[in-house]
Amino acid sequence: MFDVEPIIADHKDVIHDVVFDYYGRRMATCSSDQTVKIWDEDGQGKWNVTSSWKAHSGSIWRVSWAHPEFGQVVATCSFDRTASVWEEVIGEKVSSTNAPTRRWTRRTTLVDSRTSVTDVEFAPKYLGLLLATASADGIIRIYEAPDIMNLSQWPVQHEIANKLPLSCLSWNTSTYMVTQLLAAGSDEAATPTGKVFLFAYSENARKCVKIETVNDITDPVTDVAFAPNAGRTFHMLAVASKDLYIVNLRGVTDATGISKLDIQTIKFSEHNCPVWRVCWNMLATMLISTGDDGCVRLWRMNYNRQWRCAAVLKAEGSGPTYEPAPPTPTLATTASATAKFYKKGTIGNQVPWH
Amino acid sequence: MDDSNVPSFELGDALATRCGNTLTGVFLPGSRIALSAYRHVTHSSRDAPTETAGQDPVLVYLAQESTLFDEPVLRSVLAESNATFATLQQLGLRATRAEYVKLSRVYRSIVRACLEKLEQAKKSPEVQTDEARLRRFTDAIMVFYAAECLWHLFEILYIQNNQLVVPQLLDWARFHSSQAEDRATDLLLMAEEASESDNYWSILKSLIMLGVIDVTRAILSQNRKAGQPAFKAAELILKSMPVYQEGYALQKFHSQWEYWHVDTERKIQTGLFATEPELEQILRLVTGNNEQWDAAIKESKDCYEYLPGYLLFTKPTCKPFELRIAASNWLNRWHLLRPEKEQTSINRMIAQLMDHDIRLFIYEAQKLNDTHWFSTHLIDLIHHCGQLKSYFDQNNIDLPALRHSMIYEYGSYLMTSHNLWQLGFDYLDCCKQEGQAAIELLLPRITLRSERQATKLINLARQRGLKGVEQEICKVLSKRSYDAERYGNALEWAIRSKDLLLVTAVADFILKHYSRTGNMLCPDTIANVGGRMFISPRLVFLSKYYEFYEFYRTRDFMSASELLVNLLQSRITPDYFWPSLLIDAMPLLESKDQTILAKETVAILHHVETELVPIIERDVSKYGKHHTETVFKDYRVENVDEILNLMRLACARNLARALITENTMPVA
Repeated sequence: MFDVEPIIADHKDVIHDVVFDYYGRRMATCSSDQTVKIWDEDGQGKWNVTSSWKAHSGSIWRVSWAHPEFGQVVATCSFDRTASVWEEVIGEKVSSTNAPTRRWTRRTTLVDSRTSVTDVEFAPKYLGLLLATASADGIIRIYEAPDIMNLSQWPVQHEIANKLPLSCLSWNTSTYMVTQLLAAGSDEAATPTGKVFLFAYSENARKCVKIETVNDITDPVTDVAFAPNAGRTFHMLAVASKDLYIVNLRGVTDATGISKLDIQTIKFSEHNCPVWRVCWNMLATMLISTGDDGCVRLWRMNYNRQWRCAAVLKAEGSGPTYEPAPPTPTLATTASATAKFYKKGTIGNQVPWH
Repeated sequence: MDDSNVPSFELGDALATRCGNTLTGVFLPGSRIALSAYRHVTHSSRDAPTETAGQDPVLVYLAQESTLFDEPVLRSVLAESNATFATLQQLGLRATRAEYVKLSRVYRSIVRACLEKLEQAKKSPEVQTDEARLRRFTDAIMVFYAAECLWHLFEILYIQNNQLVVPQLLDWARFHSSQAEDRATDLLLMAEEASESDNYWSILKSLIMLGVIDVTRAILSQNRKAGQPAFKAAELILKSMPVYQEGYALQKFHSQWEYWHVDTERKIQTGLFATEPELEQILRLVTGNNEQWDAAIKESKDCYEYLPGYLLFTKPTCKPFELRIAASNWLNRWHLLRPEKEQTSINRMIAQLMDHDIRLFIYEAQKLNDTHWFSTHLIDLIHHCGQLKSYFDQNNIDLPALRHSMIYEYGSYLMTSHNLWQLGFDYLDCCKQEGQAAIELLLPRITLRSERQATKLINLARQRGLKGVEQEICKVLSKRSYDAERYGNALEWAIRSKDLLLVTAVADFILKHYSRTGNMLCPDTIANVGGRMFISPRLVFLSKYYEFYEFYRTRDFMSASELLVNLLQSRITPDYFWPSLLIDAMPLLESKDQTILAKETVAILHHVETELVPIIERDVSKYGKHHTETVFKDYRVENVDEILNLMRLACARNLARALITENTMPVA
């Protein structure tokens, strides 16, 4: 059984990304209505929008939060061919009694791309304040803010051109075996070649280069996500394509002493249709996949380390459909409309782990 | 488990239904999921408002698996069971059975105490008036009642593992149908009056079926007709019923029991109790008469309530392995007589336990609405006491792996839950390096509500040698203070983080602020840096400069000038601070009492020419000659160029004065 709290996002069009900050207490949403909204959870667990602004002149595809040690910083990327970095600052004090207002200001606009910027993601903090973007013309750019107290400067550190348009990217947060490992996927449908690429920093070339292509996945890829690493000795990459894939990457050293990545791809066809998005939980013991079948599937690793579908959440259904009573929903009505997903049974309605 | 076993849940979002039924979800820290309608776009999609724009409300749903542990009463269960869990880990794998039984009882007593508290709290007016809380309490009572009941049975069958099970099963049944005993107490208190009570006989029957013979006898002896022969005979029968005790020779007991059984049946047949039909029915139950029991089953509420009593009167020496057959016979009989009753999940689990189907039992136990409290702790206990090892081996279940995974999940659930995180450590600690890695990932993600909490987290991180976590928390707090314009705090936390870049950045900010405004931020913090200054050369400079600033402020010009000269010589002055530092020298050079010696004056002049001049030149080449915006600013001068001439002049004057005084000094 799930407790469900609906939040009226008040976006004028469909939301493309919902991202939570490091602690899960702030939420950023972005939409085709070209706005970004920042939400804060209050002491009672209610979410309130604290900022909302028009950030781009096109659909905003993705949002990413920087690590809190760099402050309250988000990056956005859009169809308008730019990516932007935003920082929350204390505004003018209106009166001495009120807390100072906070507002988000644009720190920089990254205008290097000539096509839609499809994904943006801050690098893991051990690399400093780094930002990677992927664009529809197939270029990955890695920007760095050299001065963490002044986020207006974002010189390009690396630029990697690919033959195929890119739809998504993901940083690996673990430093095990390879540093600065990055994966990107392409949703190009015409060529029957591998659609997931791996990039890493090469000591010899002194720059980021493509190190591998996952040849097992030749269908268009719409999302990739590296799993957080809690003590594993290999890396896991979830890939949303025609099916759901989990790619295990192991560092091996061959007979000639050259170390390389051993790639093992596992396919999950339960959705029976294209998979659009993937997301790991904090310890990578669970995975969410979004399919075109109207189902969100929750996957869980069982005690034998096999991935099993543990629950299905459906969009449609007679369930507790939330219908706002007045024509313009207000925040007050959401507060009382806490609904529940119900599952038959009295004491037994928890999702079993194994 | 195949797909049909996967539980599915429906949301019913209008927008998602409209745009091709697609829903997407992301995880949040704290085992929550955010769901929203999803519309797929590709790299080549045209960017235009979707046809659904503005039609349906756009919603984000925050879904969380329901938990009972938001109630403070229930949180104590988690805390207490955490302590018991830790004791069990210390006990290890080689303790005696008695010790494991003792711990199993501790777990159960925690649940029982909690049930009592729940019952009490449920009656309180604030719960009674709050519908949601009332429902939560009812749910919690149901869940924990089930947990205790199942745990108790498990303990009897698989942890105690006695040769005979009937006496313990009677205890189990009695505890879980306490109603009968309560009513019996009422009857006892009523003494002779009780005989007229409407449900007198039905209570006595249920007592007998629960195997409570002593109390039944006591109540019967208070009956008005207790002196009559029928009652006296009944008393004798019940009194003389052989009861098996540990250490008895089984064979001897058997023959005794057989004799008593036959004798009782004979007495009933002779019509000894014909005058008292109700009493006769009770005695028929005692002899295990099928008709009587069938009638009783039809009245009973719960399937397993009277099974132990039935065994007592029909098969008192039932062994654990015989229970399986007895239980399934009983179950079939019950279903035949009560076909309308649906099998509840708790009854199903009891059946699985009696049937020795632990595998299914564990699967079902995970569905209890207790966030896996029961299954996790029970599996840990099973693992430790080792009784079922061969069972798991035969069924191809890797028990250590299962336990590891359950504890890992439970521990990480606790650590990611608001208010419960402190309980998670003991669990993750027994998950080897994976548990340590999980703590390292989860600890820094605990929301830092206050500096006190942060200090607590830092101490925990330090105890575990997680330097990275400690540093990360300090850096977050430093940045947070900096953003809130509490610079003293920002510097303090930066120093505690020992991060060179961050300390330098904060010190830079303070120095730049000083040179722009003449205001020294957070003097108290800088004064207290002490030996920690050596983290960063910039911090050393800041501390030393602050020392100079203090000497100057307190008009100790001799010490001030000595320190200033040292600073100039030190080669740690940041470029942007050269103008300020040299301007500081000016009043000392020009002061009435001479404080700077000739040699040092030359040194100052040297710095003016070798440090300041190149900086100004660079500035000019970058921004143009008459540009007012310079990288190097000082609140005391409009333009950096001005100070050049002033400095040269001041140096020259002081040098002249110094040369004269120094060379005319009386030789000591």
